[in-house]
Amino acid sequence: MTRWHRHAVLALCALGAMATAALAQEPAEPIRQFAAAEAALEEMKYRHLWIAYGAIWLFIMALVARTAKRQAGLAKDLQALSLRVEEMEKARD
Amino acid sequence: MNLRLALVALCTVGVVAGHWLVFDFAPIEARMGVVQKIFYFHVPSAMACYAGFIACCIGSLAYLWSRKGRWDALALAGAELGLIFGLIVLVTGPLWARPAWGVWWKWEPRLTSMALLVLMFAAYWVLHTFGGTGEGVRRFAAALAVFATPNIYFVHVAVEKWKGMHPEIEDKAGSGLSPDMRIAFLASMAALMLLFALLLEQRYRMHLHARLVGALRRRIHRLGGDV
Repeated sequence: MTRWHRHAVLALCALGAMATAALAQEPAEPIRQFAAAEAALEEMKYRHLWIAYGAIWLFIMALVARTAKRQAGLAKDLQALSLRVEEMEKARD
Repeated sequence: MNLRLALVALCTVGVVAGHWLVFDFAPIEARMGVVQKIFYFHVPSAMACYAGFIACCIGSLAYLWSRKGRWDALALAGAELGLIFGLIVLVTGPLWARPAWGVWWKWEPRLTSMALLVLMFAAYWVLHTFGGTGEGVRRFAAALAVFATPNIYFVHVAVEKWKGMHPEIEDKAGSGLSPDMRIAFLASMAALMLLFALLLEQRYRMHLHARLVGALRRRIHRLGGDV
């Protein structure tokens, strides 16, 4: 028996021993819960809650800012146009 | 002016207190978990949306009757606020539905009728804003608002009449809520409705001022000036 043959026999014996040990083991416990999935769902719930409240106040604040900006612009226009009308009417009289 | 400032201060305190009640005081719902807290501003937003569209209908009816511009301004302000709050409802709804139902959207009666209601008033707003300044456009838009408003009834009774997956807690005057949840809900509702009233008044004044600016420009033009 050559050295190579000895190594092959040893490797086969090792594989056989591993297979026997594996078969002798108790079957693995069946999966009873999806821990990672549950954690992902909880994480999603928190994420969606923050996004929802963020969206609510983003929409409202955008409306408030837009209204304030438009109001300021209109107040300026009103003042300037009123003065101009007064001047034009005086000039006409 | 002082009354308005007092109302703004009250509204700010109400909104802050409402958030504290929602996030710290109200308990976490047993089945849906923390995502159910979207409910406390989702439902008041729907109520503010209805209020905006009803204001639009009242303004439109009064405008069709009297042809006075201030009623048209009220109608436009109501529609704008109804659309903003309707958009909030349509954005927060799917964010709640995804973890609770497993889907972003379901073509069930409440959701579908709400989407249609918002689209009808979106059509009113587009027509009013981009349809020109003619009297005919305003009258047509006002009639559209009058015909679109009764759909609020169908949205409101959709769950009761045609069933579906949408929760129906809010229609029992909060009776499906625990006492702590009810306090948080009523506080959020009061704060958001006060905010709605303040915004409606501001938008109404803004549209009145815009009309006044338009009238002054026309007057300058008649006097021979350049605008």
